[in-house]
Amino acid sequence: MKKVLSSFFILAFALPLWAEKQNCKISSERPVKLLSAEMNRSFKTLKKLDPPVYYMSYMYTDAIHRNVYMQYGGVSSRNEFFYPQLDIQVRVGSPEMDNTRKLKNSQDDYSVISGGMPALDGDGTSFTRAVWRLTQKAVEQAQQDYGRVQADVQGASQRMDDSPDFVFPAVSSYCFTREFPSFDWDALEKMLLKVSRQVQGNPVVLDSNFSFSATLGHRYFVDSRGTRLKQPIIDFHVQYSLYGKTADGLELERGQIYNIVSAEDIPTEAALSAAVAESVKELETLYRAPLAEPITAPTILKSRAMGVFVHEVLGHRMEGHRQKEDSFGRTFTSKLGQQVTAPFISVVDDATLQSFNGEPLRGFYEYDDEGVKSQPVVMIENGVLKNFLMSSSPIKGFPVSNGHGRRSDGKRAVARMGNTRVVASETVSYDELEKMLVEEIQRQGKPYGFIIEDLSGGFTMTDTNSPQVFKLEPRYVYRVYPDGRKEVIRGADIVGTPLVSFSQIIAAADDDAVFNGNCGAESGWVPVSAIAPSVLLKTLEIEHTAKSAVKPPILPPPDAVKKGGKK
Amino acid sequence: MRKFLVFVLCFAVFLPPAFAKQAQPSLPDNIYFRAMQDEMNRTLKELRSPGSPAPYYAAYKLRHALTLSIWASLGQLRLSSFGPEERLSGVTILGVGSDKNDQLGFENNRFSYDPFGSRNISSSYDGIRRDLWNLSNSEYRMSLDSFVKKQAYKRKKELSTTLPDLVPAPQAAVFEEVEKFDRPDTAKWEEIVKKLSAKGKNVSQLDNFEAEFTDNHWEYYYLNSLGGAYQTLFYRVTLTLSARLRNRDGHVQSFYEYIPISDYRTPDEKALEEKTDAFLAEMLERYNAYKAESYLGPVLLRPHAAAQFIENDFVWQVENVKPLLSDLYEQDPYAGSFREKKGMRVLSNVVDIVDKPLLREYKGLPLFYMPVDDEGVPSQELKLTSLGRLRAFPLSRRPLAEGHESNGHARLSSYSYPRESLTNVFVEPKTPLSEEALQEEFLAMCRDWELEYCYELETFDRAWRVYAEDGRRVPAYGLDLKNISTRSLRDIAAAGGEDAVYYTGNSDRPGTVVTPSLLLEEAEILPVDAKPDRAPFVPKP
Repeated sequence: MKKVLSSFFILAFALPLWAEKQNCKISSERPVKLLSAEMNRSFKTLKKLDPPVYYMSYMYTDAIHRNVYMQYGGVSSRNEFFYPQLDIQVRVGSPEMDNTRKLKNSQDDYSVISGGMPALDGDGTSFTRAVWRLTQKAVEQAQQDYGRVQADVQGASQRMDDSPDFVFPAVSSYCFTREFPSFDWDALEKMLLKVSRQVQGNPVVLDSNFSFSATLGHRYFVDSRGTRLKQPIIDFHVQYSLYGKTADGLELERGQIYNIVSAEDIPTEAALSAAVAESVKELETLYRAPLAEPITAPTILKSRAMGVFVHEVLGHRMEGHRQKEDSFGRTFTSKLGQQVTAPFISVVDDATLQSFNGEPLRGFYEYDDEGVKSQPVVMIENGVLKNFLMSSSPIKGFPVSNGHGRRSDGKRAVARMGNTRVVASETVSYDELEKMLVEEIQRQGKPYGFIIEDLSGGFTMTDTNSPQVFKLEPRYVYRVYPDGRKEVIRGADIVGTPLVSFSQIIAAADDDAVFNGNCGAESGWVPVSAIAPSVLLKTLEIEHTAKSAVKPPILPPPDAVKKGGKK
Repeated sequence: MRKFLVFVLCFAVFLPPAFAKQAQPSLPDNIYFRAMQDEMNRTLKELRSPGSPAPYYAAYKLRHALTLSIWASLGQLRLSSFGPEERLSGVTILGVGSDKNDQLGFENNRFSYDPFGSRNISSSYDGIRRDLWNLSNSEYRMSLDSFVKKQAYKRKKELSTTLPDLVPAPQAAVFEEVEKFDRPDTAKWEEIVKKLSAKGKNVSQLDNFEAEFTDNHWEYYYLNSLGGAYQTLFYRVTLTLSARLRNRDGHVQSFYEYIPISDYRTPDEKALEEKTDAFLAEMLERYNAYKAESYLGPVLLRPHAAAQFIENDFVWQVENVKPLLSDLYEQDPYAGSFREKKGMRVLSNVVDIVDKPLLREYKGLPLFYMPVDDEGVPSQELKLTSLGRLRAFPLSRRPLAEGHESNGHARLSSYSYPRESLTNVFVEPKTPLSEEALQEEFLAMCRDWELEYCYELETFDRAWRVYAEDGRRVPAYGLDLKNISTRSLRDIAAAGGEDAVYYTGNSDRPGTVVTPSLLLEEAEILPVDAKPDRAPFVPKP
């Protein structure tokens, strides 16, 4: 066990990019100065209200957004703008019980007061006035919510976990200003426009999208305890998606996302073109592929697919608040210290990693959205459940945050994943893993097994009202026969329950790879990454994918018809 | 003022009995028309589902919209775009069946009468064609579905009529050369909005004060399979002042002043400053505004308020005169309530109302120019009323009675198939009064009613009490104006001589109302039962 843990951490520390050194003075940053002054001025009064405001924080985001979407050699949407924004978190009552408590008898939309802000030039009057206006609104809302919590508590049944609603985060100070690399936006657009023409003329590609989306700026955090932070935001990706549809209504999709941190991360035209060509080929293969049939069978989840699998099947159920609220299934709450998967598997969520094998990770951050320093959290060590991901909402046995409070603009933070990493202490080569799959198919006497090449995403049900199941949507699946023959199939979804499915891992390869994506939950959309090796599962359940009731277009795409004349 | 360049008119008038043959106007050589023409040809020739009727008619409309906004709050920029937001959107109409019996005019079970639309079309020939292909396919399926349901509905209701679904109408093709978006001097406008919004800092009663410059440029491209076509441009440049005020009674209110800009290249900054100062002075007065009390008496509507009144209580009542058939309701909720009132008195005889789709501009401001409607029919100026009686309706090709002829007023948008609509609505007083005479008349009327004060509305949100004794104005708030209604049209007692242009609708279906001040002889106003907002926890910084 020790061996696994140490080798894991050696690997992690060996990665090149750790916490950036501070390069600015936080108290000299203008947004921090103005926000602190207004925070100090108002908090003096607000803490004396009845019910009192006992904690508040401001998150000011100062970013430039560029989004360009393209199809068939033309731009379909473009917006480039500067839009500063302020989100306000106000806590009314006391840490034991405050306005953010999840109500038992009504819905909570997890929203916080948020609004656009004036720029910071000039004397700051406009900026300060906007902060004051939004604060008033936020306090009014928080007091109203607190009243609802008080009313809810009167009639609600006893909570399974009566931990406080909040623990004050440690006071931190951090300042890092990033000089953003100069990207050649025009060249990128031209390249994407050119490559977007590549799918024309193909009757299988019914629709396509090529885009880049960049948010570059800084985020400032100021709270009533004295935390003052400035962190860069770089959320830049280049993406394409190709869509098709079979006559029986099955929707097909292939695509790629490239996460960009520096100009070198932008794919070259040749690389992008090759990727698109490969995706077109895959789409055509899928179009002709036979339909999957429901079955349980041995399955390889290739590394990126395994990343999504861990995210959906395990990760969401490791989020702290889901162990606390009675409305959640709490699948793993009582499994602490117990074996939940193969002993050679460890899982850590480490938002401090900026990249893996040179590939930028979208789940990287220095401080979380509650101002808490991010830290690696070993959730599973040698197959044994050890830890949960924590925000500032404590649970039994986990009284403090471990830097996983995350949210999107306008939402309240809850515990979320950052970079979720699966580490296998015993590995084989990928070729060996495929041999093991064939052996397992033969051993179980199954007609075939599966290799899940790629998963687009999925969902997991965590409410007690619903069964504790997950469903994942593979995009590219091979059926593997006992003689080793492979065949692409379409319309296969993975379905299962977390405790059973996660315990099915019997081997892992040494081919760790990254899946970068966005994860949506009650606190909004956050960028995440998953790093995992390919794994072999003893059995996995496959079911039919939902199909569209509408058949494909009657006529082929206009550019797929022999053409001539002027354009 | 943007210049209208070379104007090409290609007029193809024909009245075929069944529109069997397509007319081919000479279309402008651009990607929009090339893509529309090519895909329309393919759609009409090849798009059909076995066992179902093929489309007998097609129309495509594209809208290329560019919008630039510059926005400042209390002297600081709040939003600045690096370039205009650009969007190409489109809608498709396919007729299934025949012009005697097709699927339109029937609301399918979607609770909306809207065609399939696309908001972000790729700006290339292939992108446009792909989108039109997709839209045509979706629209065809929906049309077939509507066609079957409409026939079933007609059988269920035993509807038999000799009227066809569509009557023939001449088709026209009008193309104006669309000038490229002329980007305003962004730096200059940033400075102007910052400067104007900074003036709000001097009014301590305001929670916020903002100035927003908006330049909208909308190009429209339309083509139908009968030869109807147009290419037009509509643009609108405005400066909007907005103030958020907490009045002395604790009510938080937002007020707006819309200033149309006729020359955005060399704006009259002094005039803008004066308008801003006047608006802020009014806000200062509004801090001490009186709460409204129940009132019955004369009301003076200033041009902006008059435009709101005319739009709500006249324009919307004469539009959509051909009700839709629907399984969802017996009465079309969007059909104009004046549709059965032709020849009846709906308006005072002090003013006439005229719709002028062929007018390009008025008082230096652009109007919505519509030479051809969205059924390809040449638009006509309409004298809607005379001597207070309703004389005409906007008409489409959907007949109201035997002998019906379209007057070119069918308008299409992403939320409605073509329906009968107006464009530039002019309220024309027979005997316009000077400002002094109108004021005198108003006060005299007020005295006749033996009232201490009467109401004057700048807009429906900005009211004044005007004292009968000396004409003194003090602001009022909390007025419930729902009783100013279609009935009030007959109570217009006088009209001023100074009219102004107000923009109505949206980018999908823009329009204008041009009206002077209108004096209503009698209107009932009730107080709004609103509670004051709580005082701020922390004083304003």
